[in-house]
Amino acid sequence: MKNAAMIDRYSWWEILLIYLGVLVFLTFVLAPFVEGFLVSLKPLSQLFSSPYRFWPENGSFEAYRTMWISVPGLGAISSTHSSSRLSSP
Amino acid sequence: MNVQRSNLIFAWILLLPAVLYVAVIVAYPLVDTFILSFTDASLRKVTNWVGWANYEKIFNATFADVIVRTFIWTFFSVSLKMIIGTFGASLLNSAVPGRSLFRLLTMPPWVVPMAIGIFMWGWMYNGQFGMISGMLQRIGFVDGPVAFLAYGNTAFWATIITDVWIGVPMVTIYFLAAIQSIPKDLYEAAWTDGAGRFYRFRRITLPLMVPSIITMSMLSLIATFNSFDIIWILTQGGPSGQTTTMIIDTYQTAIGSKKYGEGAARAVLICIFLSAFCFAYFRVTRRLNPEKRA
Repeated sequence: MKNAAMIDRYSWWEILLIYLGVLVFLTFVLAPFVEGFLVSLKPLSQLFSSPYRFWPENGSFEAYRTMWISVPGLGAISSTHSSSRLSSP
Repeated sequence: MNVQRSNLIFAWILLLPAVLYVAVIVAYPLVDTFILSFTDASLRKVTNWVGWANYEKIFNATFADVIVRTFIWTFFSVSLKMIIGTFGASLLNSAVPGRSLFRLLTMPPWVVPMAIGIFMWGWMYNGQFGMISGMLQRIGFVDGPVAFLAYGNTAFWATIITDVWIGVPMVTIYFLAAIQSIPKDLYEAAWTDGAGRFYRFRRITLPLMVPSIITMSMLSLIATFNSFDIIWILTQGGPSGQTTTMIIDTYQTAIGSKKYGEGAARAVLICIFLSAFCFAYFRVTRRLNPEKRA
């Protein structure tokens, strides 16, 4: 007997198809962000290296540290923090 | 002074700020551009009235190509947005675990500032270190590196795809809302009669989505037709003008070459096209919701 809750029940291949479709859709939507994040982990020498690598080799969060120190607005905050921490005994 | 007359004056005083605002912000630049389009205004001190010469110059030059290209660009961009939006909305509507996460993950292109998204695409399109060229080489689809923005044909499609990427989240969420507003009993009735999932989508979901699709494509048409930043950041209308749309050409003429008169003539043409689209939009939406007619 059919009951109303069963309308939303999927067979296994329907679920597979839906997840595949979502995967394709989200790949298109998120690809630039993934690429942006992976590039942010790459050391400078790999940024413009010619055979393309997807995964960064010797990847690190160094770029974020550099940004935190060198960007004027952020740097002011972090330097006052670190200096006050250093000066306190 | 009778009561009616003083009421009228009071109404005008209340209207005055809005009228002034529209006059200064909208009406004045519009009229000024229109007047400017009949002159040869430039950085020179003397400005002459040249009549229709600017418009004749436009149609003698390559501008006809530019108009055609703009329409092709807009057509493909809008239809791809609609197709991918429908596809995405029906996927995000299916009751599988994790769908609220998927809905959330659809939003970033809309949330991120447009220029940043475009720069990320510019990075991906790069031939030497870009993701797309690299991936295509790895799966053996192309032999050497492909600089997508360096050839007219690929640059044209690259700008379209970036525009689609920016437009898709809004279209998807709008269509998702449209799908969710379809009464559930329709599906249940069809299901009881033995209609399959695809049949229900084709005979219930799609027909009831049509008003939203038409409304959204008209809105998207207006926004896409004068989309400037994507093409300007990616290619600046290049390679050899292969991605120059009307708005890019207007900018290059008016601001790049400082030919204000000729630029204004192009702007007037764009304005005419956009007014036609807006008119069509209002006609269509009014026909789609007749009960809301004021």
